[in-house]
Amino acid sequence: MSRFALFGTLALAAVVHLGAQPRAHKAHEHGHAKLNIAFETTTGTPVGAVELESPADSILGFEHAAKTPADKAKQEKALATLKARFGEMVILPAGCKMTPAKVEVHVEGQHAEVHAEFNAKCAGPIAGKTISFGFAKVFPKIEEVEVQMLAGTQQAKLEVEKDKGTLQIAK
Amino acid sequence: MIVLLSLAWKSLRNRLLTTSLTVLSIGLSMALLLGVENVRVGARESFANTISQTDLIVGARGGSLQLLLYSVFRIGQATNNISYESYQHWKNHPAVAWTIPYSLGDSHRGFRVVGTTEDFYQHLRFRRDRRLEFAAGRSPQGVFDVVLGSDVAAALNYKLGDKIVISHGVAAGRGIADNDHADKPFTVSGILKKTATPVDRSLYIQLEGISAVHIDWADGAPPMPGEEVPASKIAKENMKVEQITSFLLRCKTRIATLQLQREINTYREEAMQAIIPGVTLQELWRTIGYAEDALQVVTLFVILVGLLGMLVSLYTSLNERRREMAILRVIGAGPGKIIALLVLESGLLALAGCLLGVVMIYGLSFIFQPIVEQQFGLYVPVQPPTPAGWLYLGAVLLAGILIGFVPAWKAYRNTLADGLSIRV
Repeated sequence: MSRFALFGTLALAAVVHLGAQPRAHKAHEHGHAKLNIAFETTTGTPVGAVELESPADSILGFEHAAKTPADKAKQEKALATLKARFGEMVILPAGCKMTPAKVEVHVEGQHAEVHAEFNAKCAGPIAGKTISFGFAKVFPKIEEVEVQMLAGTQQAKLEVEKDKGTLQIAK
Repeated sequence: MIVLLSLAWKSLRNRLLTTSLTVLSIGLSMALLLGVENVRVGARESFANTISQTDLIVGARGGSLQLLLYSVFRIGQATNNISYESYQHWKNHPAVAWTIPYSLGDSHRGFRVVGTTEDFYQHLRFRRDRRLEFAAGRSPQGVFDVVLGSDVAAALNYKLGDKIVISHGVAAGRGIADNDHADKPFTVSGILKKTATPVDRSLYIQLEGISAVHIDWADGAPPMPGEEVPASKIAKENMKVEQITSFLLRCKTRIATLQLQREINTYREEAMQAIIPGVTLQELWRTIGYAEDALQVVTLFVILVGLLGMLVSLYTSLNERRREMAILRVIGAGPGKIIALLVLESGLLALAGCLLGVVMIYGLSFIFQPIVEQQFGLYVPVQPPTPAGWLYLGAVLLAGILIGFVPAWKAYRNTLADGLSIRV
């Protein structure tokens, strides 16, 4: 009887455990990052945001939570590089400047992601200008980036493979 | 030069049947090429114009293209619905400016019935900033009011006050009798002005109307006889909306759009997805791009065949014209004149073919435009050739002129003696 009771409790515990943990998983592909660019307007002095979502492996070189001092140092250095050289990775039209707003690592299960947000500000209109990319120079493990852009009324998408291709901002 | 031109013209007229057949074949292939180009450009513009100022389309998780197609273009169906509760959650999100909910799945004589709210008439925009307008009547006020898209009203000849019955499912043609919501007829309360978008080909009722027609249904089956709930007993206040199919959403800012998209895509309460319509459309064009390229190659080959036909007809005609060429040489036309004559002839043929092609494409688009729009919701504009179209026209004309050098070369090599000594 007690054996049944124990089994029952375990089963219940398992159900409760499963119920508490959402079982949805985001797609996660190494070397494949996502970049979102948004500008409220393309005329005047446009204000916007740029955010990068990348598998941690492509930026840090590992995917587990950084626990050892060596890993922590490595992570800190990589994130500092990301902040400092983001302007080389996403090359906005001349006159635009980006400042880091949030750069963090999310660990979920066996995967980790680097999430970086930058604020962008441009001194002049960007309509008709282009945005190009240089990820490989800074983090060679980023091979492909799926770029989404909202700029004024424009909604655009571009797959950037090995930094090839430019995004045209509509006139 | 004028003499040569008139000579070329007379020579072509002399072989009227061959000439007109050649011109026809070039004209047809040209019309095909320009037509494909027109449809391509028209389709893109028409799709892009269908939805404006919508930042996100939200539905159950699945294919993003599918979500776009059934929500905006009324093509295909949703595999899952989303709960009204989740919809309310996002509708009341501080970053959201407005939402338009859609509940799909019913139809009326082949036209889709869409359950929605007043927000649809207030906020929907197409062609950049145009909004919906009523040709007659107004938006549905009661549970059993229906608004018709302009094509629906025109095709079925309905007017305000008419009673109509909607059917379960979206199969084309008449709904299956068993599936009719015949016990709960709707009254036409408004007819929308033409928008030249898929809006014209749907009927619009309130979300509560969709709930009302299914109130006595159980497990997706119609009620047993005697168990129907009569329409007179249904009031809007008592109708509970439990699910919708998808909704359009406008954010207060573009930056918030991207954040909201991520929030919705990782929403833990319900598996949902949010897509940016312009981005998904771009994916659609990339997918279709391969088929377009294949079609382009086929049309290029058709042009090539047309031009080859011209070459063959000019080349074979030379045999009949050996004496003519010889006489021209005798009366003092140098080799240059002979070459110019034949090149002019082929150039004239290509020019006539191009002109015919343009005329045909204008005529055909004029005739088929309403049919294509009615059948496929595709507005193909009757317009002068696109830049690419002009390029094709120029290329064919140039090819026509260049091809003229082949028979010209042959005529030049046939010596004077050849034409005079041999019995032709």
